[in-house]
Amino acid sequence: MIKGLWWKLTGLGLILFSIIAGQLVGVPDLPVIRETIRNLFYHVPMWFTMFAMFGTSLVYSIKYLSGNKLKNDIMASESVYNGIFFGILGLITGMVWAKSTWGDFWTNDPQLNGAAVSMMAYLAYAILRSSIDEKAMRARISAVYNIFAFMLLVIFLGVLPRLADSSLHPGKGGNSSTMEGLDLTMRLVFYPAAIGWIIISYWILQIRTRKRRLLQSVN
Amino acid sequence: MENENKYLIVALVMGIIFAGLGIYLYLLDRKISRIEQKQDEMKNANKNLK
Repeated sequence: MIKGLWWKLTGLGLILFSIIAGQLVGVPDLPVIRETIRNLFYHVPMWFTMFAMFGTSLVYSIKYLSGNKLKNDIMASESVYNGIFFGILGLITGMVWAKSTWGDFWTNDPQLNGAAVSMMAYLAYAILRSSIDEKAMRARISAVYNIFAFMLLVIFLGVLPRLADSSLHPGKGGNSSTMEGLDLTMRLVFYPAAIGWIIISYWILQIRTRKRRLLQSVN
Repeated sequence: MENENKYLIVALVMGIIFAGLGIYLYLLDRKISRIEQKQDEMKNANKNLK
């Protein structure tokens, strides 16, 4: 675990910069999207952060299975809960964006359906964990399930939408990616936003795991 | 001009909300650090007693 305050302040600073600059920088006047392209600074970093969290949980699940240390199980499960939180934020910001560009909060799009299925797979992880009382058993079964859930995430969000014949989503179903049209000014806001949110998610993860360990030691 | 002001207000409101969340995280972090420190002190005191 990284100690010190510098990286937390860096994360906060990057996000604060991206929030304010995201509203104030000049953006290209693209058809249909228009000014809503500013949502890119808030929507896409949520998915990046979610992937970072689920990736972390995968690593700790594998570590748990190879060493049976409960601290790795705590890290894995808290990463999943954190990832679900950022996934829900990604869905909400995406739905708001979809309403103003596509006219509906939810469309029958492979990327959107893939996101919904992936989130449900991770919600099932949380339910699975809460259904097992014995600690070691819960840790082992959920670690194995977590590996499958990550594979589902990659397939439903990374592979299938790209193979789809048609998709409204940029970068999927043969569409060009919004990222390709990003000018330097937008990149200078987007990348700090993505890095900042990932840093803050690790800070939240650190707080949650420390709290869990404290509660465990009290019990 | 009016539109620019609107963007500025949105940016400020979002910035203030996020700064509040950041302060909350910082205070939570500090609180947990203090409890961890106390716990370590208690552990050390118990060791010394033994």
